[in-house]
Amino acid sequence: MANQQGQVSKLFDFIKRQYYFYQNDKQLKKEQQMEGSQEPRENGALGERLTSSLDDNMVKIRQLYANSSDFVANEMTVSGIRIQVLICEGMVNTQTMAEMLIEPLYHLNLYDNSTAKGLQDWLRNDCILANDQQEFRTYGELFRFMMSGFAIVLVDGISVGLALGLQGFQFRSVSEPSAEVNVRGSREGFIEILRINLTMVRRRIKSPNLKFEMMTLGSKSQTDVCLVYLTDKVSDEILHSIKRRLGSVRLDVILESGYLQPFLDDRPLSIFSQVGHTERPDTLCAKVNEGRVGILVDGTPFALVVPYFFTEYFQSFDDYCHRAFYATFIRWLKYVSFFFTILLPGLYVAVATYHPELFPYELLFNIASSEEATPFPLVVEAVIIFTIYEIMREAGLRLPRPIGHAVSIVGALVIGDAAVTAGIIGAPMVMVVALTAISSFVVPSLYEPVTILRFSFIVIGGTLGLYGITLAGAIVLSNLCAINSYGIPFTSPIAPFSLFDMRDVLIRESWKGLQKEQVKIQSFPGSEIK
Amino acid sequence: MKKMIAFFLSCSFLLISMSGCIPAKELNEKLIVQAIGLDSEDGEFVVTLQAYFPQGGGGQSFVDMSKPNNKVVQGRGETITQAVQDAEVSQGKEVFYGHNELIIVGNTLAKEGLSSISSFLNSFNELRPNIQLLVAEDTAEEIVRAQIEGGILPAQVLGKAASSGEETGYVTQCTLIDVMKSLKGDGSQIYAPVVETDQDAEDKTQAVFEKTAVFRSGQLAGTLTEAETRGLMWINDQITRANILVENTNYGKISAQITHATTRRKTRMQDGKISIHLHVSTRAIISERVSGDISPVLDEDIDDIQAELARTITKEMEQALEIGLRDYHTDIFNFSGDVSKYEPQYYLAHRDHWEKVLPEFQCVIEVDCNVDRLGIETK
Amino acid sequence: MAKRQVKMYQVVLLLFLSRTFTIISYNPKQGTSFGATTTILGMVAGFVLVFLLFLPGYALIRRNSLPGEAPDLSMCAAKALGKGSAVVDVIYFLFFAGVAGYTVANFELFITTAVYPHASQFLIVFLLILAACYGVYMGVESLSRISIVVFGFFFISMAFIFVALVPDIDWVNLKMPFWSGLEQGMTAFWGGVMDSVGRSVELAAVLYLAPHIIGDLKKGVLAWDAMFTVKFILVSVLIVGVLGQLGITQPFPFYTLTSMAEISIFQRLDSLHVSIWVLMGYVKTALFLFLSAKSLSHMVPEKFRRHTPWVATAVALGFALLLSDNVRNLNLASLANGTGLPVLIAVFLIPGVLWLIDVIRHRKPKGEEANAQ
Repeated sequence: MANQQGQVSKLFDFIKRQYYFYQNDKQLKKEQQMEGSQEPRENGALGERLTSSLDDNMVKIRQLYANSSDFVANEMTVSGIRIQVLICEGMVNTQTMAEMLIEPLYHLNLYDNSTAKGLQDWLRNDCILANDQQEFRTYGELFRFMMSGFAIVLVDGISVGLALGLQGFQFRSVSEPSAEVNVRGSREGFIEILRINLTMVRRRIKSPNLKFEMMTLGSKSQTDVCLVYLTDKVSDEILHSIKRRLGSVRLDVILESGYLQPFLDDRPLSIFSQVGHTERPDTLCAKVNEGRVGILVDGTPFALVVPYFFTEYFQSFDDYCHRAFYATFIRWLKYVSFFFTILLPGLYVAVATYHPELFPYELLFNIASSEEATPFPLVVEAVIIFTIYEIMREAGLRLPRPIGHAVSIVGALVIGDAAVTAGIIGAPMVMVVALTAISSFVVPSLYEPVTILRFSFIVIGGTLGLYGITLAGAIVLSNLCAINSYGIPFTSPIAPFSLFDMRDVLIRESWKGLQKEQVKIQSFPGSEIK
Repeated sequence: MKKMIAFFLSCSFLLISMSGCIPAKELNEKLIVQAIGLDSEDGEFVVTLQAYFPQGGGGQSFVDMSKPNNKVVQGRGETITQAVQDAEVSQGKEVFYGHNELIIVGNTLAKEGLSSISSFLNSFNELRPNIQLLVAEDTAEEIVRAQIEGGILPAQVLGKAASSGEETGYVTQCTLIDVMKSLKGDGSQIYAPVVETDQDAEDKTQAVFEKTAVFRSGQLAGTLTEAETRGLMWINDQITRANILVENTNYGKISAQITHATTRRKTRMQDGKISIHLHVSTRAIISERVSGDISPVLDEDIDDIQAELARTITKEMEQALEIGLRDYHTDIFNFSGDVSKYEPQYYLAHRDHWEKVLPEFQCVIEVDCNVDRLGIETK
Repeated sequence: MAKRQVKMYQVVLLLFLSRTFTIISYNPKQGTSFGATTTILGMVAGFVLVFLLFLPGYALIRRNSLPGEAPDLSMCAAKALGKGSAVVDVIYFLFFAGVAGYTVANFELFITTAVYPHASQFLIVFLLILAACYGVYMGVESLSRISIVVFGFFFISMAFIFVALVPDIDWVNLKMPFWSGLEQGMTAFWGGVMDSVGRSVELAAVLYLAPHIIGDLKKGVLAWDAMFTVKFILVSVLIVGVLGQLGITQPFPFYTLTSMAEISIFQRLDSLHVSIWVLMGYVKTALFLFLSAKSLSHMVPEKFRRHTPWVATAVALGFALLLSDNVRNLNLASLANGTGLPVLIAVFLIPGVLWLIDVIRHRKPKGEEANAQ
């Protein structure tokens, strides 16, 4: 009884792993159909096909694998036929393998069918793992499967190998996303395992139109990358363009989705990226539902979203869970915070140096009092204080958690109290830094461009006043307005303007209003995509 | 890569060269002026500046209001600019006028004429057009140097006192823009509050506004009393709030607070002379009654009170007209604007000797006063 | 032909901002101290005249348009004159570069007079033109999209100024038209007309932007014409009503108004308003540099076309430095501009002549027409 229960639970675990696999034939066909795919048209020895001689295959494999210590090969004889079972140590669930593969093989009696083909057919059709296997013909594919946690079975006399899904490597469990915290919405975030991430998406969009298209990128890393889209919403032009751009990736290793970002950007040198990223499956599903394409990369919890527009940096999942009036308020708070974080220090420096009449006189007197005995010009003060702030922020990110608290204390002491008391900087500057810093975390996805722009505006404001800031702002605006993200203006629907689309930009209309016309990115003003 | 290098190099070059593009003065290198006093002495301009001078310093960010946070700097020169330069040299900071609240003109300079200072006032970009202009009873220096308590700087207290005085109807407002409009010859003449200093019961300096200076062609022609000042403000539709004291034989002294006032003018020719019909509409509430009798004011008495209020207002206006048109021959009521608009031929014919025709104007005054509320007392 | 990229409403906003930029040095005086309301009447007449001036150019473009495609003036000139169209290209190349340079020089005069008296003239000019050159490289799409954002800022700025200053309007200052007599009135009236016409260089811009525009050119120009006429009438009323006679003596009366506009604690915001004008100046300069580069690109081989913005920038910079070096030069240029002749030639005369030539050259002989019938 206990034995039966154990078997059932193991079977249940095994069935769970069914989610890791795709139909072999369909996957191979897709890979072959991709244009300019970098995909393993393996060159050289990796592209060689297996032979029917098991010994020759093993010699080749040992040669190519260079005797790496995690390579484990078990030879067996089943009904007089030799087979080899190859695994990467630590990647396979050895207990499941023993119970579901090795043990049945030991007890197998093929009777009249005791041939290599008969054994191969048994493994392919009758073995309990029959639904969870893929065939391969080249050494490159053998290594790819083996290093993905499959157990490889080679039968002497057959030139086709079998990869059996017995993954048992350790991975992080699904937890709340660390980079995108929401008050409402699910607490699930993507993890490093692509297949598990796909299940999270599939559970949220139970539509047959939701398509996952796999590809492999990285000549050495052979990283699995999956395109996620809705066939009834996505534009063929955008899809084709994405595939073409991914096909031009010639990197050896792809360890994070950020490696692919420059290839997908229309203007990689622009300050603002035209590729979004998210750690949340619900956010990805919402984006995919608007006709975008999600890109999941194995080994990273950050999914990419293309195309991505400027206004989306200010939209979060929480906006759509709160009531419309509050969501609108929060939306405006983000816009104001964005302008604060970019412009406040620069404006403060410019106004205090060149246009002090803009301050109310009470404020001006306070600032003048605080700057009376400080040694540095305001622009230098601003650069110093923000550099210190960035150092502290970066240190806080990299420090081990137990020591992390010390950073905040040191930061508060150094920046806050000591610098002002010592007369290095004025107190209003500390206020400006604090407000700027807090504002920058209201829209965390824009942190990178905002930091660069902030420093630029500080220096420009200190040297050229409001005139310089305005011209610099005009240049940034020009750059922003010139970007097209996959044929759709990056600043759409602000410029080109669409009053109708302001329902989810200037305000957040209630769902009753939003449901009247589903958002489709192809219908944004200025879109060249159908 | 080459493009990146070229980009950064050109940015660096631009920034280095731009650093001298717009000369920057830090706040601690600026003298933040809040009041400018202009006097004339022996053919020279004497400029007295009241500037912010923080008493804290050393990184402190608050202003200590218990200390005198001001410094008075003076300079002399043949032009105002020279005088200001003289003042700058004496203390080493560049004068910043962006927050200047007041311009105080000394009595002597006012009599000589404001046209000598119009160029400075008009062309200097930092001065705001709507800052107040005051005329000193004696010298502007005395006013600027007065340490009037109650604000961060004495100039602010002075400015606030002048502004709030307008609400009582006894202190007019004169801004730089009004001065410039008049000096550029649009027909209207300048009138500005006269300020003098006095000691209060605690022997502290305070500002007193009791008169209004009246100009003709930019030169000081005379002054108006409080009642005449209010009459002027009635005519020019500048009354926002005022407290009018009326005496009624039945109910003693009544203080009525004006809540709303509008003055409309109609200009027309009548028997070859200009006739200006001034219609004042006001609304008032009874705020206080001073009398031995404790009876409250009743509905039946409203008509009397309204009539009494109208008589008082009419009297003030007549006094202002008399002194303005007939005594000083100055168009402080901007009748030239109305006449040029409605009787352009008359204006074009007489604009070169406008002061001479002013006494011939006939002014008809009509005042409607409505008392809305009688207070909370009932019989 | 260029692919159509920009909607008409974006072009209308772009041209409106470009035209409104002249508000900085705008004065409703027009040659007499009595002209204000008469000038406003002149503007209304100018609205009609400006639209009429556009018609020959519009007829020329329409005549040469294909379904879904419109040529610019240069292409029409090439069709009408053949190789002689290079003269037209040169004229417009210099004209547009001149407008850009004149704009920058005027703006530099304002900045160094009213805002930064001690600033380096050269660097004010250089920075603006350099930034505008970058805008040219970003393309006309980017420029038209920016104009939407800048228009938003401009609208808020104007709303603030009007709300703050309308209570200060003394309606007595607004006198009846022709109140000072017919002769002076006509001077003011004609001044208003010339103000409308003389500063409407944007009409020439439309003739070169036609290939990029999606929408009805005629309606767009009419809308633009109406918008700036209304705008300038309102501004005239404000200047005259608030400043009265003083407005006439000011070189930058509108700037004086901005420094007076205050609502509650929002005081002395003229520097912020000036920042918005800097954006408008950037848009206008970039637009005319773009058009100048476009004219030049018709004359040069394909491989040199990507350098035409630099050439246009250099020429415009030269013009700007020449004008800003001496106030007299700028005054001369302003006088010439005020006559309306440059606009008349660029917008009416040349397109009109080209249209006539096109009609005459490509008219079918009478025999052929009869056979066709």
